[in-house]
Amino acid sequence: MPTRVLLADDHVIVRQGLAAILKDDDRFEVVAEADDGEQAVRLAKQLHPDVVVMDIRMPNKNGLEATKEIHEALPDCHVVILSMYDDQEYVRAALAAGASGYLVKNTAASHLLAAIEEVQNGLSYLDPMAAKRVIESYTHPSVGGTRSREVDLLTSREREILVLIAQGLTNAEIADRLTISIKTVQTHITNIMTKLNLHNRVDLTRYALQNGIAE
Amino acid sequence: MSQRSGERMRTTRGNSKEERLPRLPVSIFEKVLIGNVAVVLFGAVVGTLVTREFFRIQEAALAFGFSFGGVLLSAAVNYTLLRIAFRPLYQLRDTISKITQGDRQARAIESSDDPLIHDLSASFNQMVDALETSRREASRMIIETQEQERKRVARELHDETTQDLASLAIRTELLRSKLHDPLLVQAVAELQEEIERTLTEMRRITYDLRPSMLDDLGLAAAIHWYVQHRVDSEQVQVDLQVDELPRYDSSLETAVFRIIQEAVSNAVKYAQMHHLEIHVHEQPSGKQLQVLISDDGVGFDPSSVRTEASGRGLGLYGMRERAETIGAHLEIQSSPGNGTKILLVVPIPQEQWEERSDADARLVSG
Ligand SMILES: Nc1ncnc2c1ncn2[C@@H]1O[C@H](COP(=O)(O)OP(=O)(O)OP(=O)(O)O)[C@@H](O)[C@H]1O
Ligand SMILES: [Mg+2]
Repeated sequence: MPTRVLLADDHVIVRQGLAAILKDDDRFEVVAEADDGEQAVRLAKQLHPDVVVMDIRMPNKNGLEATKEIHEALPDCHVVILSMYDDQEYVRAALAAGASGYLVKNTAASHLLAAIEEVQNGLSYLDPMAAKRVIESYTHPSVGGTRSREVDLLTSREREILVLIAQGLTNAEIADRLTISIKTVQTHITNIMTKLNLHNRVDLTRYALQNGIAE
Repeated sequence: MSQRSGERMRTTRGNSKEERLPRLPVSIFEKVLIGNVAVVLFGAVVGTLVTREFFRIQEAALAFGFSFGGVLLSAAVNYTLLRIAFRPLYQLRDTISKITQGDRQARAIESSDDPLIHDLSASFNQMVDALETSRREASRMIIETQEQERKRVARELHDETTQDLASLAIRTELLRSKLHDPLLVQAVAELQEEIERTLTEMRRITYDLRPSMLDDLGLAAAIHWYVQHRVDSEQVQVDLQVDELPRYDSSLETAVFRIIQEAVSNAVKYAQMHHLEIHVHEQPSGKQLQVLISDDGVGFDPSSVRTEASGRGLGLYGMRERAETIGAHLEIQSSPGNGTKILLVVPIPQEQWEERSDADARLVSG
């Protein structure tokens, strides 16, 4: 029995090209073609294909969202993503959405059959160029992880003013202490409030105490 | 007259100082008139006295001397009075020259005693405010139109031209697999190479216009992609930390991406740095996005950067404008020799962090 394939791409000529490749080989059968993401999900649920070959950029629902839905609804149906780009960001997003294969469109013709066979057997298949990019991202020493820490929002002057506010000084007293104008003090305080998303002096004082800026 | 100008005072904006001082509304015209009348009166009285005293002795030289002194004195008094009377005009002139030199915040003082000058300053300020508003509006529109146009062209290139080329590549591959003549196989292979080169070029152009990742995968992926492509990690140690971010409004994602893009590109172009830090952090509450781009390079004096007619210096300006359109706080901290730190604090609109719970159902984030 041939492998049943669903093709989803909004570009008719690309779809026809891929269909032509599959038709030449009797190990494969194209059961349906979809123009957009929604249709792809609907047809997949209806026809239960073995493999879905899916473009990323499509109207109505993009290929990544469609992949996620198909992956959740039909765990036995494998998705091969078809993309214009070999960047690792796309490959990662495709894999995260549940795809088992990733092909770059212009070289898809030479890899399509192999990719469909591999994923149908429960394995993965990445376009060699895309695979290289993903591997590079792991060996790339200089680019850090994905969890960032709180950004240090305040300048040293603003920190200084925050300490004085927490000590209960008025704007005039702060201006006097730092020998700057009251207007400048007000500007600083407005900036501190904007940056910390706080709205009054009580909040500022609490923030300073909680964050060990003042005691 | 004083009644009327007093009323006008209240309707135009004034500062608190002028409300405290009791004002004596005298126009320049009246000041000059009073001054001149006083001088003439003084001259006439003193002249008459002098003439009566000295004319009898017929000391013409002395009389002449007194007249001359009188004229000098009246000129001096006139000069001083006019100086005082025209002071608000000099101040107005200074304000205008400040604005001409690019200080867009400068405004005329509206607290003159003179109703005429006061009105002049007030309408001058109104005019400058109106110009400033329409300038902002215009530049906002330019930025928006440019972005829309870039998006449109990039989309068209991607959805039409690039796809056509890709299908061409697919079909030539199909053709090649059916050929047996080695010469033909060779010819088609060359054709394929050419298609491949064109495609690569098209992708580059499309990404330059607007990285499709920003639309397909969101802010985090687009930032990762941009930094990795723009910064040479052999030369510069990059510390890139980007939280996993939800999808925001397209206008917010675009503005934040463009600001980071300009900041990173400036650092690469000018800073001669060793380290570059890029942090994009979402507050746990989801109400605020904090962005820091910091280099340890040569630094510069931000207050000395002015947009030139040549279009240089548009980068920092555009950053400020974009920050303003999304209500974000932008800080450019730099001085020669001390590196550059760019801080962006973006408030996330309430409806976006409130609907966060069903955002999971939306898109896989990069
Ligand atoms: N990170 C930085 N380190 C050192 N100098 C900088 C940095 N960023 C900006 N500058 C200086 O500020 C000037 C203005 O930058 P801006 O981005 O506004 O204009 P530009 O880069 O010269 O031109 P454009 O961005 O319009 O192509 C630059 O010419 C450069 O001298
Ligand atoms: Mg620039």
